[in-house]
Order: sequence, then structure tokens, then C-alpha cells
Amino acid sequence: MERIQSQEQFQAKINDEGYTVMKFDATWCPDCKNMDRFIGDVIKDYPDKKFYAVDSEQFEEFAGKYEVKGIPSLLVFKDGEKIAHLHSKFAKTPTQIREYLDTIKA
Amino acid sequence: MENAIVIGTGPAGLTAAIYLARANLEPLVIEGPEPGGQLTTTTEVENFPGFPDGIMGPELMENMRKQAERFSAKFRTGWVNSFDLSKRPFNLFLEGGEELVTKTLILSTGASAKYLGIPGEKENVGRGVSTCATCDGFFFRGKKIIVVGGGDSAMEEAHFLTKFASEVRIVNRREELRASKIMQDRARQNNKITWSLNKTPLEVVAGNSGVAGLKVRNNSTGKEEIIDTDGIFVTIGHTPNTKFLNGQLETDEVGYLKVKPGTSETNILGVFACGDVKNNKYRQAITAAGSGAMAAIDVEKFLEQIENH
Repeated sequence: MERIQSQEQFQAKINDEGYTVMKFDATWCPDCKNMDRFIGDVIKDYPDKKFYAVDSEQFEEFAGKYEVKGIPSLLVFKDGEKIAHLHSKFAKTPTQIREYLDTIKA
Repeated sequence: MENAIVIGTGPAGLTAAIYLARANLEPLVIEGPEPGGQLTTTTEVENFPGFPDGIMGPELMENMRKQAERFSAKFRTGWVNSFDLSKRPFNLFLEGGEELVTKTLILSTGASAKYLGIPGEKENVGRGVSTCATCDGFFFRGKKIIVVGGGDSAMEEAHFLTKFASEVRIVNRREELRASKIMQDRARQNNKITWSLNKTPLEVVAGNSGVAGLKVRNNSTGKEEIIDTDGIFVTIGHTPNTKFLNGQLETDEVGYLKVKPGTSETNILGVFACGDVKNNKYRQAITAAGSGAMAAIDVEKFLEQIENH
């Protein structure tokens, strides 16, 4: 999963056509490491969505703005607006993530 | 077919893996939804013997894993959906449909953080309700936080959260704390920590942007009040991860696996349990590790027996 490098890039990506999923994480978060073991396989099945990783510490401003209060969190954007927010407590396995992503369809 | 499958990678499962691997049994270790177990969400572990200066929980778990790998324990990521324990060898069915077969099974799936079960709580997990201070504390810089609980973990989390929060309030149902004296003293000496004791949490109050308060009842006066807060960290103990066993093994009324006293044997021959998943009053990393060694030795003996018959 490509990692967001700049604020401008973040802004541009969430305004892209279709769905953009931002995975907020951090280097010190055990649940993020857990998710990273399988998220790569899961996202292959969702070519209709674009996925990016966002370091919550590096982009604290976005974490605040989009009300990230726990990580990892999967935030879904469309036309620059956040339309869905899944927190990791309910995303411990590939099936749980798939069920969530399945609910977001064009 | 495997000689032994270990499910769970906390101190119990990894110690079992080290012992089994050293006995050349090439155990297969399945890492589930919380690799490394509860210790990966703690900060410093000060009471694990052999580390006079303490060690970080995640590092301790990483070390244990490396030690098991050094003796050729096999690791894989997997989520066990169901079991068939009605006959040996046992069958395990993983998420995704894969089937594994093993002569023996060690269950070390541990326990997971318990929630209060009050209105507004579940829907605000990730919106201000958390069970992991080390994971989520960062997002409460300069904010007000409540820690619910009165045990060692609650004291530790409260203490840790003062690094970020402007104020940390400990809410506990009883007047007395369950925490050890050293942990209580440390919390009481921290001037960012305030106390609301003898108060029962009733409801998580939330607005559009997440948690806004916690409604509590004073147990002496019966009076209810809402304590303003940005975050609520729930630290009230754990619940055993045994649901996926679907009642195939004997448990106590809470769900902890029953083992024959002084052993790791469950009620099914060839299935062993260790760590926090079995009924155990100690719940320490070192006792979990100890019980993991017991389970591995029990497996070894059991395999010898069935192979000699």
C-alpha cells in the first residue's frame, strides 16, 4: 500500500474520482502491525477503491480533522468528503475488513 | 499431519512453542488477531525475571518469538473458524477454507479486553472509547480522559495517558482499588490523575464528533452526573477467547477452559490449555509462560504414549 508523503498528496487523493480509503496507522501500534499482515491481500479484491497508508503522527492535523481517535482506522473518502470510518477493534480479521468494504459500493 | 498445533502467541503459546521446538516436535504456531497477545499493548514490564531494568512488552514478545523460531517452530497467520475435536487426529478449519490436521492441540488464545456493556459504548469504539492506551493515547493530546477500572492495568494506563492528556480521571465502581500498592501509589503521586471512586458508569454520552462524557451514578447517594471527557479508556479486566470453540471443551461459567488441576489437560485427551484462556487467578506473563512449558511437556508425554501403543 502506497504511503502518503505530503499534505498536498493527501488532499489530491481524497478528491480523486471514486472511493479512496485512507488507512491511518503509526509505527508503534500493535494492531496496525496485525492489520498489515493481511490488508495487502484484501485490497487486491477491491480494484474499485484506491488505498493509501497515512502515518497519524506525521499527519496529526488530518487525524484531528477527520476524528481519528484510534488506530488503525480505515477512512473512506468520496469527492473529498469522509463517508465511512472503520476502527480496528472491529477489523481484526480479513473477513471483517471485507464485510466492511463490501458495504461501500457505487 | 502436525505433531502439535499451538493456537495463540502470547507468553503461554510462545513458551510452549519454544519447548516443543527444542524437543524436535516442529510445532505449528498459529498467530491470530492479536499477535503477541496482551503484552504487546503494555509499555514496560518490570516483573518478568531476567530483566533487571525492565523490558518493553512488545520487545519481550518479539524475543520469545525469535527464541521459538531459532529452534524451528513454524509460524503462520491464521484465524481458526472451527474445530472438530470429536476424534483424533483433530481437524482445524481456518478462515478461507483451509484445513489443518494435528495429533495434539495447545490452546493459548488468552483473553481480550472486556467492555463495560453500557449504552453508547460499542458504537463509540474508535470515536473516543478505547481499550488500549498505548494504541490510542496519542490522539488525546491536551484532552480530558477517563480511565475506568481499579486494577493494576487501570493504574498503568492512567499513568501512561498523563503523557498526553491534560487530565486523567480514574472512575471505579468501588471505593477500594484492586491494584497492588506500588501501582496505586504511583497513580496517587501523579498530580494529573484525579479520582471518582464508588461510581458506576451508566452510559457513554456522545456528540457528532465522538465521546463527550460519561454518565455515572454515585453508589452511596444514588445521584447521577455526567463527567465531561473526550476519551474513555476501559480497563476492567478480560474475557477468555473461547467462543470459537463452540462448547466442545469444558469451561467454567465465565468461559475459561477447565484443566485437570496441576496439569494443562482439558477434558479432551490430546487437547491442552495454557495461559489466560484457562481458569487461572494469577494472569501474569510469567505464570502464562510457566503454564506454556507445562503444556509442552504434557504434549511430549502424550505423544510418547500414543506412539508406544
